[in-house]
Amino acid sequence: MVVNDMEAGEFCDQLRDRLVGALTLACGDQGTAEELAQDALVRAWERWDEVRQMDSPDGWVFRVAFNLAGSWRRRRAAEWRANRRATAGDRATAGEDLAQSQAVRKAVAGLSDRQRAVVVARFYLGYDVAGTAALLDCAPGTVKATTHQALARLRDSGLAVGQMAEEVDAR
Amino acid sequence: MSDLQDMLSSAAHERPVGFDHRDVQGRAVVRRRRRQAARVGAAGATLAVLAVFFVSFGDTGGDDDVDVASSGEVQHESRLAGRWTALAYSAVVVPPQGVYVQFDEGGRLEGDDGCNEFTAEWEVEADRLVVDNFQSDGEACEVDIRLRELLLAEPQIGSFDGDDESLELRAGDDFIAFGRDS
Repeated sequence: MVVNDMEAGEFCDQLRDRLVGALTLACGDQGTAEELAQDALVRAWERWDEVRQMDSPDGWVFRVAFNLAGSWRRRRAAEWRANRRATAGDRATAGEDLAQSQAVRKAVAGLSDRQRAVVVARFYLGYDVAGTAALLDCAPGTVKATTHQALARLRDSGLAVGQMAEEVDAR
Repeated sequence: MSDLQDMLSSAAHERPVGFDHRDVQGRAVVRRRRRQAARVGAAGATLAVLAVFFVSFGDTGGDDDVDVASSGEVQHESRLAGRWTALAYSAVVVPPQGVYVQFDEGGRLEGDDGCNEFTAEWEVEADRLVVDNFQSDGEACEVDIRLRELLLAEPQIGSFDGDDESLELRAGDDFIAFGRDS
């Protein structure tokens, strides 16, 4: 039990930053992302004996986390929009980098749930098409099509997605 | 900064992450205690029902005011526990075989929608079923009974003929009726 707890603890700490980052992009703010990340990691902790034997324990946690983020978004959409409106002015004055981060999150927030998950999985977490398909429980063709649609939408929102994203999209 | 990957990396963190594995472990302990308390509550509700039965049986006309309705969520959870086979659907006329859901008292849900096995977590809020962490095989179904959509829509828990051997999960116009496996 103690060994399992140590192992689970190391797993949590190793995954924590990437998980919170992915959820920050998925949800739009880090405070909520940290709550959801802890919820996802708690579930992994509770069934660590099972999770540690999976092919991709990281993938399982990301999948749980995306599911939690989806539930959270549906339940809190109205509140989230209101909070963003209320705090947008404060954040915009805090510097160019922060403004750019806000613009990126705003553009990502404008995607559909699946598009957002695909963008975060491929361009933030670095999963390939097959890994993203496994993560999101869909076909590789769906991942490719969704990536293409998401990038088009990001471009439309004024985001310079860059050459590398174009190449990834084409793969 | 001209590439999407760089932009996402910069936008992913506002500040250093404010928790570590000790917080996760603490939450896991709290959740385990809550589940244990719910199980004790379910056992208590059963005892309360028995108490009502025995008190009523020996009623002397006094004010025996035992309120078991206040533990409605626990009663729902206790009632749902077990395996249920799907009998009728709003989405399809001719359903696939072998559709079932099984609610374990520990909060785990498993089942089969006719072409995919799935697992999830469940709890009851008021009279609604809240399902989370739904994981399934992801095969395309020849006959889609919309069980996944229904479970994730926080369906209302009802009994279509008023007993504990039948169960109806309903969200808007969508419903699936189940019978308890003997």
